[in-house]
Parts: sequence; structure tokens; C-alpha cells
Amino acid sequence: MKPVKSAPLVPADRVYMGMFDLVKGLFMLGMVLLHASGDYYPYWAYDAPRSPMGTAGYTLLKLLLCGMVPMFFLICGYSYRKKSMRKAISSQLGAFRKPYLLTAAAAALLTIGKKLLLRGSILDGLRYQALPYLLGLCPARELWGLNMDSIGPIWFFLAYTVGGILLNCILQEKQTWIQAALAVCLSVVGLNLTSIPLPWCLNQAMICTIYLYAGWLMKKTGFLQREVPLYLILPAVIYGVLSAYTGYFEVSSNMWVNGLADVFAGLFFGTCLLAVGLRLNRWQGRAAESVRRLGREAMPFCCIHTVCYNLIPWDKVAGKFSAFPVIGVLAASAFHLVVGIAGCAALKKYQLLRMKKQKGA
Amino acid sequence: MNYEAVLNRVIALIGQTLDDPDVEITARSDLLKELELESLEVSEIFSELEAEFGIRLSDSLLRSMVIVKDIADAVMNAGGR
Repeated sequence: MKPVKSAPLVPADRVYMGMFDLVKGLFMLGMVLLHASGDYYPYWAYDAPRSPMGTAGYTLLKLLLCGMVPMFFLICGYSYRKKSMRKAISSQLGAFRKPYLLTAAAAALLTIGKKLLLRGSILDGLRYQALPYLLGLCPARELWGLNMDSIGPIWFFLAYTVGGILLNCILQEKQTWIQAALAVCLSVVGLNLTSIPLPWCLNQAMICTIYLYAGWLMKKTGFLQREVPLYLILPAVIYGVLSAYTGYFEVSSNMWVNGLADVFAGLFFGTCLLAVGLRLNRWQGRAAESVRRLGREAMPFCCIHTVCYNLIPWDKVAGKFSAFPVIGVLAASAFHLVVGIAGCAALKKYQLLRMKKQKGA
Repeated sequence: MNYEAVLNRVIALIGQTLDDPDVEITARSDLLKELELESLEVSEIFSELEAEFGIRLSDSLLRSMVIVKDIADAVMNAGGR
């Protein structure tokens, strides 16, 4: 067999390898920006009094936040491969075990070090970081009379690990309508358990399995092979805006004021964001390639960002920049990005060196 | 570098990634639609091939990878040792 010439750089097919990389990269940038702005513009303080101008900006932020996480779950569901239950559990846990344990160890050790430097107690460090990681706690909660911190942005991958196993359970069923009904039932059960602090992001995993399933269905039905028509996008946006404006839903905080209606609003809005994001794939060049690389390395980036986000007292940093909030947000975003990207590059170099060493041996 | 050997190595690496003996992998298997591989997984296969054949495979090539054979072609075009 002889090699043939490579295919053209931009494929004619709508579905191609790496089509989600740009959207995932933009999601990472959005996540960093939201986390960096949280101490200056508390988008999460949904009941805080706001000016009319503030309300507009706040609604926009809220909408992005409401749609972004479901969109990422849709992408994960799209890429999911159905397996036997045993294989699904071992592959989901296997892929996540190392990054999670390393992130937990780094966050816990650095927090204990910080507490020691500040003459605080080691027990405080353990309580704030080690225990939450052991329990997979998100958002921050009071448990057994102790205020425990959240595990931070890595919660998403924990919820995906558990949600992937739940999705695989659903996919064991052959009939589509039964699969869909099971996904909805799981969401309803998750919504009814939000007041109970379940470990391992089980609440989010149960609720978001519907997004994973929707993503999986998108692949099976070839939904992304064609352009999403405007008559589907418009009502979805209106529904998302209404749902976000009348209440508040946000997956990481596990808050769903309108219940199942919010879950569907997230699904519609996430689908719209995905459709818009995929249209951006026309963007080429070095900057676009860098964003795509960031998207491919979403998990290590998120792990590094988690440590940075949890370790540095950003509220105190924000206090120093309170007169210049825009500069503060930009500086914090730049810091997160530089540390995350440098960490990912170092990790990739280390992996390549290790591979070369193994091949050499 | 022998093309057949490269192709077999690519198929073996994809097999390791999928870890599913029920999936049949041939030179013509569609990476996305049949094997359901992700760009990250193919990028990792690229890294393995880079270390093994002493070549450089840019991630920008990912978009043009459609079937298994395309990866072997990319290795040959990169002029591995």
C-alpha cells in the first residue's frame, strides 16, 4: 500500500476531527474570565441590588454561565463511546483518577504550606482543601459544623466522570424513548436532592446526564452535520433568556430556581452556544490554533487553574485593585492563563520525554 | 521506513486507545464516525508516533485526519526515520 496525498486542511464535511477544540478553548477562556471577575463583579450574587446598566451586563454574564457548562457537557456526550458497564467504570475512573489525585495533593499541600507560612493551623488547611477533595464537594458547604471549601473548577470533570457512568447505564437500554425518559428521570431525582450535600458531585452528575445524553443523541442523529436553523435557535434563546432572567440556574452552584424548566433552558441555550461556536471554526491562524490547543488540553489546564484558583486569596488581591476593577480582572486572567498554559506545555514536554525514554529503553 | 509497518503501528496504537476487542480497525476505518476517537486521543497517538519515529506532527493536521490511513500517510509525509 502506498501513501496518498493528505486531505485538504479545512475539511468539507461539517463533522471532523477537532471540530470542538475551538469551542472548548473559548470555554476555558470564558471560565478564566468569569473566575477572575468574580471578586470585582459578583455575577454569582444573584440577589444583589444592581443598577440598570449593571443588570444588562449581569444578565449577559448569567446567560453565558447558564449555557457554557451545559454546552461542555453536550460536547463530552457527543464524544462518549458506549461500553460494557465494567469497562465504562474502569475507563471513566481511570482517566480521571490521576489528574484528580494530583490536583487534590497539590491543592492540599500548598494550602497547608500557606497556612504554616501565615502561622495558621494545619487542621484548617486540611479542612479547607483535603476534606473537600476527599468528598468531592462542590459548591462550598457546611458539613458536621465545619465550613468546607469547594474543590473548585475541577468539579466539572468529577461530575463528568460520574455522569459518564450514568450515561453508560442509560445506553444499555435499546429503545431511544426509554433512554430519554431515564435521562429526564435522573435529572428530576437530582433536582429533588439538591438540598442534600451528596459527595462526588453526584447532584450535578445526575442532573447533567441529560446533557451528556443529548450530546450523544446529536452524534447518533447527525444533528451537527447540518446547520442549526434559525427557527430553532430563536425560541431556544428566548426561552433561555426568560428562564435565566426569572430565576437563576447554574450547574456548579447546583442552583435551579425553576427546576426542570431550567435544566431544559440550559440544554437549549447550550445547544445554541455550540451551534454559534462551531460557526467560529472558520477562524484560522495562529491565535485560533492557540485557542484550539487550549481546548484540547482542557483537563490539565483546568487542574492547574483549580490549584491557582484555590490557593491564591483572590478576594484580597481584588481589595488592592478595587479602584481599577478592569485592570484587576485583566491581570488576574492573564496570570491564570500564563500559569495554565506554561503548566500544560511543561506537562506535554515531560510526557514526550518519558515516551522517548521508554522507546529508547 | 516501511509504510505497512507504520500503518500496523497506527492500528495498534488506536487499538490500545479504544481498548475494545470488539471494534475492528482497518486502514479505511473512519476515525470519528466509526471509531469515535476524540482529537485529544489522536493528538496523543501523534505524540507516540513522534517519539517512535523521530518526526514532528503538527496538531493542525488533526483536521485533515478522516480515516486510519491518513495518520500513516502523515507519518510518511513527515519523513520518519
